[in-house]
Amino acid sequence: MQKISEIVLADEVVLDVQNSEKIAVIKELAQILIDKNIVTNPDEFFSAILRRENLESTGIGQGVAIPHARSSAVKNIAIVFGRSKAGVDFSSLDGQPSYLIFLIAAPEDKKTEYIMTLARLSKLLRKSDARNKLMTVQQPQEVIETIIRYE
Amino acid sequence: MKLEKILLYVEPKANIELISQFTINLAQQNNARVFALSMIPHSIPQIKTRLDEQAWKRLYEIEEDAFEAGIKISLLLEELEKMNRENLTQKLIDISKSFQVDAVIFYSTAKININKLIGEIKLPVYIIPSSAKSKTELRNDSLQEV
Repeated sequence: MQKISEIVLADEVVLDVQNSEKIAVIKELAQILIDKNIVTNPDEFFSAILRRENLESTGIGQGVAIPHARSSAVKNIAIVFGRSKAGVDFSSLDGQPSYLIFLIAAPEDKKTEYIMTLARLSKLLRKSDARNKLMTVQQPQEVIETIIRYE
Repeated sequence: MKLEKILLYVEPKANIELISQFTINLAQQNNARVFALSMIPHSIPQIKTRLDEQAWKRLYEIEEDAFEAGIKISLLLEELEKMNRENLTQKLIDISKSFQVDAVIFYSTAKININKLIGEIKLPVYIIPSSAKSKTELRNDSLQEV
């Protein structure tokens, strides 16, 4: 099982997302997966992402959101990290906006790996020190270093 | 009584497949939203980290089942100072009231003071028996609604 730090796209960290609305932010991050050819069918992937967003809140509270989808349109499991300075409304149960956004994409047949990735990332992001550090890092490489330190 | 919000307490010994299936069936019948709740002790970091990951894994397994069934679901992970019967029961009561749920479900191995829970929330409580071996044994009419 790969570590979170091995799955996050280190070269594609977005320290300041351009959009402020949930779906627009997800599309902004998903575009990276499309550009890197990790997502091979954008429409199918967006459909899976949007269906989930319509059914549940992927904002897990404490300023964190983990939009995610498992789809045959995904070649390999990957995470794109984006940070929003203003915060994005992911309908978190705690009512707080999300500042740290981790988009997870996984192939349809990787259910176990997908669930473990969600669990490990959620665990990591419950650590307030990790969240605080991710909120203040200035360089993309620091994101990976922070994840390595806390995972 | 139509159920709009269902609280599922997911404790470590619960049979995830069974509680997930029963909860999803009940949610489908009522077009209800599910709140899946796990609780972990506020203990030393190394132990908490391991329990934290296991708890999230259980919650995401249920989330995936719910997603495939088209059921709305929210996940909750709460920390308790001590995982004793009194604290677990009180947290379940507090969350039931906070989210204004219409029913509570848990596995029979959960350390819950049932009389106190029912006395406080005055809602249907479904206890899934650990003796159930398969999903087919969990038809609604075979379960006791307390």
